[in-house]
Amino acid sequence: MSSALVSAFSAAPVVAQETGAWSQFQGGSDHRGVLVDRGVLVDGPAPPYRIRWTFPAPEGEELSGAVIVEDLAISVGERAVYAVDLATGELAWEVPRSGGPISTPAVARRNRITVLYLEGPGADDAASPSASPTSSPAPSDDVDDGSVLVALDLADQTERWRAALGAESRSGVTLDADTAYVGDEDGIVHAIALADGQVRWTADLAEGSGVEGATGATACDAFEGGAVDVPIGVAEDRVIVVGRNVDGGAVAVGAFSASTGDCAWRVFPQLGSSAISAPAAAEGIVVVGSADRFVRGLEAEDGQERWSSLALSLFSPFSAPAFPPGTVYVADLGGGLYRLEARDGARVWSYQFNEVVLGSPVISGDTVLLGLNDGRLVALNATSGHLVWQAGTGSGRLGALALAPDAIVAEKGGRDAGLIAFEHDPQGRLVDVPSPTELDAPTTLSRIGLAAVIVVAALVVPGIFLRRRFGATLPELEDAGDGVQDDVDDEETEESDRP
Amino acid sequence: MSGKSKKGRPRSTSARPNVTEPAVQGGPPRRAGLFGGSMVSAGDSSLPTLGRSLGRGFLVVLTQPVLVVLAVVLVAATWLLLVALGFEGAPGRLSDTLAMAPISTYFDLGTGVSLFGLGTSFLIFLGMASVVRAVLTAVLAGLIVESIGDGRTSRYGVLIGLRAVPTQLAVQLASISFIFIGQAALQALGPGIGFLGSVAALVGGLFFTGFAPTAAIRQGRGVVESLRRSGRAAMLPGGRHLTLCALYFIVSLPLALLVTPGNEITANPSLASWVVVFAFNVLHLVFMAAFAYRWIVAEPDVPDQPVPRRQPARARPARARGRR
Repeated sequence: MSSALVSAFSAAPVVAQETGAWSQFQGGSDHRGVLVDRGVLVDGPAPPYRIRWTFPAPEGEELSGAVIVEDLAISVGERAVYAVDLATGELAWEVPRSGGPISTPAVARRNRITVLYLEGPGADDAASPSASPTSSPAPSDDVDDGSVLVALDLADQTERWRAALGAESRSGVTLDADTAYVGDEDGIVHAIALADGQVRWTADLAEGSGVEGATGATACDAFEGGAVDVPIGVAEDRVIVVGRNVDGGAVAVGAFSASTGDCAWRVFPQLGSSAISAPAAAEGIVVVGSADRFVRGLEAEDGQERWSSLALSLFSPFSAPAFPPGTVYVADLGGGLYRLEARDGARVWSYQFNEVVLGSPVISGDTVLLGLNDGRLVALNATSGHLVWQAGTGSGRLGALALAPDAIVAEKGGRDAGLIAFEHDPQGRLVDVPSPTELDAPTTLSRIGLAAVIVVAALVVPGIFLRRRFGATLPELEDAGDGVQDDVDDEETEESDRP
Repeated sequence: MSGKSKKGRPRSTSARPNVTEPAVQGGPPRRAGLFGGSMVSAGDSSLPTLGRSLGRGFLVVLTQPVLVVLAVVLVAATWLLLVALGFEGAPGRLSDTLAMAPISTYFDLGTGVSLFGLGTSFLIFLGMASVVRAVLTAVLAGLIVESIGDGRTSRYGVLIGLRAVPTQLAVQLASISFIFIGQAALQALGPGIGFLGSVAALVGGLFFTGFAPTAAIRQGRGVVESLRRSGRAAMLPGGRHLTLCALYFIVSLPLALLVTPGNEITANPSLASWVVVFAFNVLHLVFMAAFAYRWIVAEPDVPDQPVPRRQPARARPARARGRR
């Protein structure tokens, strides 16, 4: 591990994360993809790795990305919320859930630890737009029109409260200080008090006031009807919201005041596509990747573009950049992983996996970890950008990763859906493989040379026989010459001869 | 130009002992509807048959090792240059490095977008790539024309090819227009008809401009006149020229993409990738030679002036009879 990087990490207190665990999507409300304990960055396990356990999803349904707290990995499934023992992989408890889109839960550590997750729509009765205290963890009966945010006490799995949103939600839960943030399919952002589930404020990304983006009203109109279905980020009193209008082909990035919900700014990075990554925010900038293949660093203050950096592919809304101090790591949909300077977006290195990536990179010490769609977990050296370890987990994607000091928990999709935990393997071996996009001159030149010999021999040798058979010139043109200039002269003569 | 004796060299019009006679004698050929009936053979045609054209194309290229070696060297050099510029992409696209416009324009656009995204840098790259491509294509066309006429390649072919640079540059710019028209059609008409529209724009672009470099080399005329004559030659009846263009399109895009290994992004293509890529680029020269051969054969019959559209004279009496 790079000692310089470690010291840089250790010296950097990280705000917005106070749970001392992998508490939500990408570890914290700012989506930095790092493990934090009491405001200080902590390393996860170092490569090489081995599988500690696998937890098959009950009934084969897929699970959400995990959050980790109190030696439990907690994940949301279609019909239940599962807590898995981080050491053994055994099911510690499960709480029924009444269906709805699967999204990442969150855990809040205050006087007691609370698990927050979304459920529904899917039940019978009408939703109420207010919080209701309950004590039973039974599936909700008020989620037919929209999703419900459920708060669960981790200690005894009793339900503390639930808050109906009025529309379906896929964004997952973001926690910052004493407020939970969720977005819904109507483009509304909900800020909900952690203590009692009361709605503090709501804001409509499509109707936000404040500074318009450079693309102006047209983009705003195109975004009308968009949804907030991407995990919300929070940093420095700014709630960073990414919205997408899949039908209209527009995306919007907006910032709202965490305390009042007032819109500070909105920008529309691109028209004509709804592909955009989830945001990561730190050091005064918001980083998103959009469909025009640009990773953009936006000023958190006013949304102005500070820098942009070109990638090779567009970005998945399930993926967010990782943002350890001074550096941004971002993975595009086509399998490119890039290390960028946070101050100016300059590319330090890139690695091409040639495999679809739906998850986000996470940082463990001097190692960048990423799950690929073919089931591989890959680890790269953060300094060199070389692959140092990889292993397959069978068919089916490896999606969101969660870090603990001694384990990595990965969401597994496909036929063997569930969770997989990795731990350091002292017997394992590291490799040092550069990206295939780095030119290996001797290999490439030798291949070019050999291929040239093959092609020239295969084509020119028959050509020699053809030349002997047919002669150097084409029979019907053997008197023609090249015709150059003669024809011009002749035609000029003809033209001058015309009456 | 090259010190060759031009005097006494017979005109190409009188030097086609085995060439099929023109369809229309004693006057300019008459145009028969859209594309001049160029999808079907009308029997007698100024343009040689597809089989003969492609056969002669193969003969011209394969009997000239310089052309084969040039194809290999240019493609390899292009790849190394692009990688040095920071290009990251799949080597499969190299199959169309030496393609005729507007297929080659796709290569340039895709490479530029991959390198720079859409922006000012992309436009600068596109401009520079168009100039470089115009020079290279013109030189290759010159060598092919020399090879067809004299059975050899020399510096003379390079020199006569250079006169086609302005025309080829105009073809490049027109190709960009064709592609944008095709994309506009795709956007406006949707993925079904729009896709056909975008394909039609590409094939149509090749149809009208395919002869232009050879025309410029052979006749030494200006850009506009060379393009006009290329279009008129393409409209000569019965030559199945549209079919040849469609065949070239199929070979260059779907087939090349399907056959070429190496769809993964790498700077180090496999040996198989290189072999297939080199072979496809030689095939592009074969098609270029086929187009040049067709022009040279049909050159005497290409009208100097636009051909008036044929009046529906035969249909009129029939309608008249029907009314009675």
